[in-house]
Amino acid sequence: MVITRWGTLGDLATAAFVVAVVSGVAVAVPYESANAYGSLAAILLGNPAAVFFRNLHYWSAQACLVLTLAHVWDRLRAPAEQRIPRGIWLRLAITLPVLLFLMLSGFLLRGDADARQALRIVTEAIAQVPLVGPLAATFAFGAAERLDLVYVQHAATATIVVWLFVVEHARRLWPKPAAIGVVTLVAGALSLFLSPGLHDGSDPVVKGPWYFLGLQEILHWTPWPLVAVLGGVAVVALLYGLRAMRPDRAMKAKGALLVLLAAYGALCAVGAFLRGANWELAPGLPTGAGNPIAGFVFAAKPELPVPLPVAMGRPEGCLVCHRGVTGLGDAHRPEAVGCASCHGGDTLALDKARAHARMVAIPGNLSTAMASCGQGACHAAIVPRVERSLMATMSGIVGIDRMVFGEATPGEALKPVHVKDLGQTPADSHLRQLCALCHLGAAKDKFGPNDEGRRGGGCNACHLAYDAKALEALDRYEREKKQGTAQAPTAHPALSLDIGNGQCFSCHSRSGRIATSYEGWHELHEPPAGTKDLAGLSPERYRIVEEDRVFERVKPDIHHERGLDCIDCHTSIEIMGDGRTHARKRDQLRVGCTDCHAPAGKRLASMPASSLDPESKRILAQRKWSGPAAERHGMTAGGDALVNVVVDSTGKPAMVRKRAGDRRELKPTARVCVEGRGHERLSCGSCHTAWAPRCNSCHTAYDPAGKGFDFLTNADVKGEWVEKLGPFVADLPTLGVRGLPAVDGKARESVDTFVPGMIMTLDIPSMGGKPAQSVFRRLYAHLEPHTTRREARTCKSCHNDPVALGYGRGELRYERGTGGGRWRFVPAGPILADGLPADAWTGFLGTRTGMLSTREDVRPFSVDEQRRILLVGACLTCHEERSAVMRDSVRDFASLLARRSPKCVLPAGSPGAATGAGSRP
Amino acid sequence: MSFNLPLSEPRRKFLRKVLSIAVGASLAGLLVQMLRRERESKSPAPVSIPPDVSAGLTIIEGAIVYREGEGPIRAYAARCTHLGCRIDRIAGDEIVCPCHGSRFRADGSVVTGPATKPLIALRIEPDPKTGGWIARASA
Repeated sequence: MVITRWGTLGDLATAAFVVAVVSGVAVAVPYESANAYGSLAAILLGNPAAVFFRNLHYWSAQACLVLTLAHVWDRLRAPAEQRIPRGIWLRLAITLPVLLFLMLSGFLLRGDADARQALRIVTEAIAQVPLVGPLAATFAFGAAERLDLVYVQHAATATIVVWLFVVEHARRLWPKPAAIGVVTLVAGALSLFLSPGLHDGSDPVVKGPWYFLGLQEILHWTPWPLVAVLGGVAVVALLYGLRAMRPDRAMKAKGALLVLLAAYGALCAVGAFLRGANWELAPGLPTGAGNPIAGFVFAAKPELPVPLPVAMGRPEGCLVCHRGVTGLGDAHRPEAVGCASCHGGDTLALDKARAHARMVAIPGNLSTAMASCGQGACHAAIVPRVERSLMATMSGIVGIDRMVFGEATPGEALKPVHVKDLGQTPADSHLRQLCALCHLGAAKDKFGPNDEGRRGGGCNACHLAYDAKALEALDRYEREKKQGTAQAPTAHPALSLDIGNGQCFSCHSRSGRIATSYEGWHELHEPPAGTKDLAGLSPERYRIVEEDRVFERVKPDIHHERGLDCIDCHTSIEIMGDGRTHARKRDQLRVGCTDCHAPAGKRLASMPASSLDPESKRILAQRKWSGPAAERHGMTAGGDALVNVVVDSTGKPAMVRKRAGDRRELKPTARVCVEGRGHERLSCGSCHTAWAPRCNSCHTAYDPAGKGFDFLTNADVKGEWVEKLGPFVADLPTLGVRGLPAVDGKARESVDTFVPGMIMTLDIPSMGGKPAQSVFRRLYAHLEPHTTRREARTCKSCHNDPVALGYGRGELRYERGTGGGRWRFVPAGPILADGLPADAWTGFLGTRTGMLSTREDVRPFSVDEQRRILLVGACLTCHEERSAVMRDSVRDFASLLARRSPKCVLPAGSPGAATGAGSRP
Repeated sequence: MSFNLPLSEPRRKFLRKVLSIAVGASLAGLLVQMLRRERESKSPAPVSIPPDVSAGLTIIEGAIVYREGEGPIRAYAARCTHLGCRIDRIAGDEIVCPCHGSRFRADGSVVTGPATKPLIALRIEPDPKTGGWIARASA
């Protein structure tokens, strides 16, 4: 038997028990079982003496358990069980599970995230014992996760039972003073520096107390929890049965128990050191919030306000230091939501290093958004939508890129994919290096507003808004940080619904360049000739953005001129997604021109304010626009509400500018837009688009020796994709045909705007990909250039223009001969290997097959359509655009053609030319 | 305590035993009744699902809500069928129990254990007040 200078192991275990009881009585004073987490949090934050007693309670209890097990083993070795009367031996065997209950109930009384889960598990596990289980679980833990009952069973029932049985066994009421002294000293020393933490629920790792981690592991491996419960009962029964066994059998049983205990200890170690979030393997030291945290209990702390600051119903230590933070707006005031709701960290620590240890300095990134913006009480329904939205998945870009590289069939390219799942194929590495920075999942890792050089950031990409004060505070902070004297700024950027165009600009100034085009900026391929210093360029005429990109001022969109922001047209459902994964942008976009501009002679579609969906109602309430509430609101063709399109009682519509709150009259379309059938297939943009950025050719190659940068992993990689661009031109878009969703089973089409999407050579073999030769692609892309003007493009710019018709730049000439007229086209640019001019989409009065576009539902004009367009073009060679004849041609071209003058020379072979009967162009 | 009845010692002992068992059994019966009533009186609170709930998987209070596109809503108790842990996380397209790692599909079925039973479906009723739904435990 082990006998120390302070007594036996049993004496020490009993002493630890007594110290735990006495310190428990002390800690019971500030503890409230109905507000377990809150009261413990308040203790941890502002009551060092109570922290000491809590620590003493904890450490003496752990010591009691360890010493009890050591004592049991020490006495079983003797063997001593034969010397103990049967009744006492039974009660001692029962003492062990009761002691475990005492320990576990102490853990449950933390009331933190781990404890709440543990309470559910233990209740359910016991309830699964046939017959008596449900009632026993209710007796011990209550029926509704009640901590008050657990408190009674912990502080009274179990404590009394253990004390009674121990006193009966030890035959003395009090342990030796020396044993109490040494336990108090050791546990007290630990208590000065190690405080068990509390799990506030933000950490996804859920773990039980250390001595139950093995049980947690067993429960993971077995589908029958009852096995674990009955296994525990069997161990106690075996202990009790030892007394009745023959000595040799008893020794074997004790050996088996020792092996079991060692195996269980190993399982506890697995649970402690190998398990991470979602029960995945994550080797490392335990980092859970519930683990003991090092730090001198009585260390100097900032002066605590009385009462303690509370956020989200819980004491929050962050607010002790970070006082007076402004700028976040009403909904996100630190006084209401605290700091940790968004930034994480340890809310119960006042020591900076500890408090900031698990902090997220820049929350909102999609990788952490569910734990911040998307947590239960906040925007839980929105974050998953954003994660599935196109700005996060880049599905269209990924699908098209793979199709262009020949890695996906057009059908495969129509399936939703996610940029985060990119592999290492040529197409995917091309995306990783050239495209993967522009998606919401790209992590924002620097403070400050997004710009052309800093993109992504999840929720922050749109909603984080720096005003002058916040920018100045950030500037000062960055400066002071370099000097090592930085204090966290108190002027916080706003989390706002007032999303300015600048937020969109950071990504949408590239590719289709809709954000820059909208504001009337056209990117130049290279600085204007003779430019020595970009800074010397006139800011009135030129705009320089990140990476020395030079933009020249051209015509802005009329909506920009009238003060409309991107968010005035684009709805929250469009931008943040509708919760579904879409393959392409067209599937997620909802708004159209006629949602605001009713076709002439018709009323704007609208819905009563009472029918608004809850999200629109919330937005409306947040916006707080002045003036009377609208009775009706606009709606998209798909039935989505447009909160800022309001319709008064006379049916007159207006748009409320979302950020400014003032109103703009909404006019119906011009009558000419809906006259006749001549232009009925035309989209609004086909006529009203002033210009589109066109890049007529480019070349993408892979340099195996170069050093590239993978935007997905933010790491340098060997091998570099290099894009060589041709000159950019701001010119009228090409027109083509786009398929529309069928209505009543009838396919529909619309004439729409297109630009060269990828007329390029892909040097795939240089990366070792397939096919073994360079691939040439001639693809046009549908683009809404966002350069709408009130005035429409001219008739000739469509009917007599080779770029509009898809032939590319050149001379399109109408020659009249005796047998009729004849169109001729002389291209301006070189002819490429496929026989077409470099910038063409289709051949002059020709047709193309195969891969035509970045999407499958569009095409250049067919030969028949070209002929019909050119037929009107032939008229325009003689008749003025605004002449009565041309106006009539729009209303009823067929009858116009039938009554044409004998002097008219129609193109040979034109529809209607021979018979005199016209047809719809 | 003794009863001064004119009874022989064995008979007295017997009666005392019978009386003790009767009183003990009655008290135990009352205790069982109390515990049963206590268990039955506690049922999970209904969960209000807003009409604009996102497509896919969402956790709302004690319910896991699954919406397929604009289609019908399904809801399950956010309670692991293994040992009753509160499920508070979605991992991609799966529902993961944080306590012992059981994984469930969006239709509530088990991907990997230890859980063996699918998530418990909740009854969905339209909520005329909000235009959304109320999910409650099936009777």
